Amino acid sequence: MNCKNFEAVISDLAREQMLEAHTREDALSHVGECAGCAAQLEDERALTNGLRSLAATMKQVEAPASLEANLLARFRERTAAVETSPVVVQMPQRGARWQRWYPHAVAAAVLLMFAVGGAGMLRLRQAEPVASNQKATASSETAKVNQTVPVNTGETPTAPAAVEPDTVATVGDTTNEARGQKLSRNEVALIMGTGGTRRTASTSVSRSRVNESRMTSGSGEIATDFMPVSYGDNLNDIDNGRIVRVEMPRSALAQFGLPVNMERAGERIKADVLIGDDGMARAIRFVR
Amino acid sequence: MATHLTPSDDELLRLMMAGDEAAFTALYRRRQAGVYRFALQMSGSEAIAEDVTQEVFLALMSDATRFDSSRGSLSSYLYGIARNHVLRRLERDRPFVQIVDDGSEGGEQQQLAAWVADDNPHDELQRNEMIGRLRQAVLALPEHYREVVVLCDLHEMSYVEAANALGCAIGTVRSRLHRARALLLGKLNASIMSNQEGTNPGESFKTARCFA
Repeated sequence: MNCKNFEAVISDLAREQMLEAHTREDALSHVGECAGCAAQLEDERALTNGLRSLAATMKQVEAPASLEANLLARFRERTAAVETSPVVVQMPQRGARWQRWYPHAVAAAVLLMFAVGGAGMLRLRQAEPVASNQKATASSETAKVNQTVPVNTGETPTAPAAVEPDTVATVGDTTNEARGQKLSRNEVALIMGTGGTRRTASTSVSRSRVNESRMTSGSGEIATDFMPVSYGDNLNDIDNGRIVRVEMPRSALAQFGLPVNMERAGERIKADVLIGDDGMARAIRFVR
Repeated sequence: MATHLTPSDDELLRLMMAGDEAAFTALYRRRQAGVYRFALQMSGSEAIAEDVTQEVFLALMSDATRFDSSRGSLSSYLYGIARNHVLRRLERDRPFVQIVDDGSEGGEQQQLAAWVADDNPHDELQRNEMIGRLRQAVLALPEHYREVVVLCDLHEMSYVEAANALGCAIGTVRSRLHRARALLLGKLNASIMSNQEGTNPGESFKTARCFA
């Protein structure tokens, strides 16, 4: 080793850094032969010791205790703000790639599930013989609750949905609980907030039922308003509907602009899906 | 420098992001001293160090998702934030931050060998004075040299960790550290020489290096 090569490794040697064995041996051998490089190494080692002493004198130095208290207060404020904020979405900005596309993939999978299930329901419905019109014009409130009733006065009543609640419950693999509530157009309009322009006399009864459905989807449950599952949906076109209780990953909330705690993104949450008469998912609300 | 702590920084960060106050406290207590010392050693000002430490943890609080564990440790990430804040503060406060350029105060002969002989009892005062002189010499380094000395020599970071914190290549860290140490020796040498008027210069640093 010559002086130039020694210069390249002198800092690592003085700082006791990892060096290849033969490099270290060559360097030390050179020190034994070159007084100038030996003196340099001595200075470098002295500097290393000095810097370590300097670091040691500051070993106990730390931020003032008041800073921790201030930061904790800020942390509490932020946490409280995030919990109460309806629009804060904690999405990773520069995280791993999978974090960016995972919520989208989940939402797409859920929608695909609904679409496939809806197509199956449609096929079942087409295979079913057309029911009697009398059944659709039943006037009692009980009939309104349990059956699908056409809204347009004067129109030929359509057949009730052939898919029964039990069938709906098997629409998706993730469906745990199917409510199977059938809703008339006015009730759908009330739920969606689209206004039922052609309400029947049963509106008041339906409204109370809808309100109950909107505010408390179950005992002790809190629900959001229904939101359309895709842009461009004309919600006025929903003549009849059916609510189906499903579970889905929490990350799906982000698709609807709701706050998501990404740490719990993998957990499952409950949601009610409003399925139109065509078997397609039209709206969704989240239930806690 | 790398130590395995339980729970890990990443675990604490995940809990913190979920709103766990205890996790934030644990993370803060684990990392605040390093961040504070780094800012202090870079700036020489306790006020700046305190401000920077606060900014670092506020940044972590407000946007922890910016941290990507695949790109380095949380510690390096925090040092990186601290470094940016320190440089910003130094730039802003430059007219008001006093950085002593040399150690022209004092009259005693100082010897580098005093640091080597750590156990020499009568050199304690002398050592303390030399440490003070060294602190000033570090503060007088240009910032891009100062930060590698602080991280690698004072905080005993590996080249990899320092490169992550500074956002540069490992080779850059090595070469800057080499140059920074040579500058430090030069400053100390000049300081000692200036205090040895008429005395034997052979008692101080023995070497000078050329980086032409």
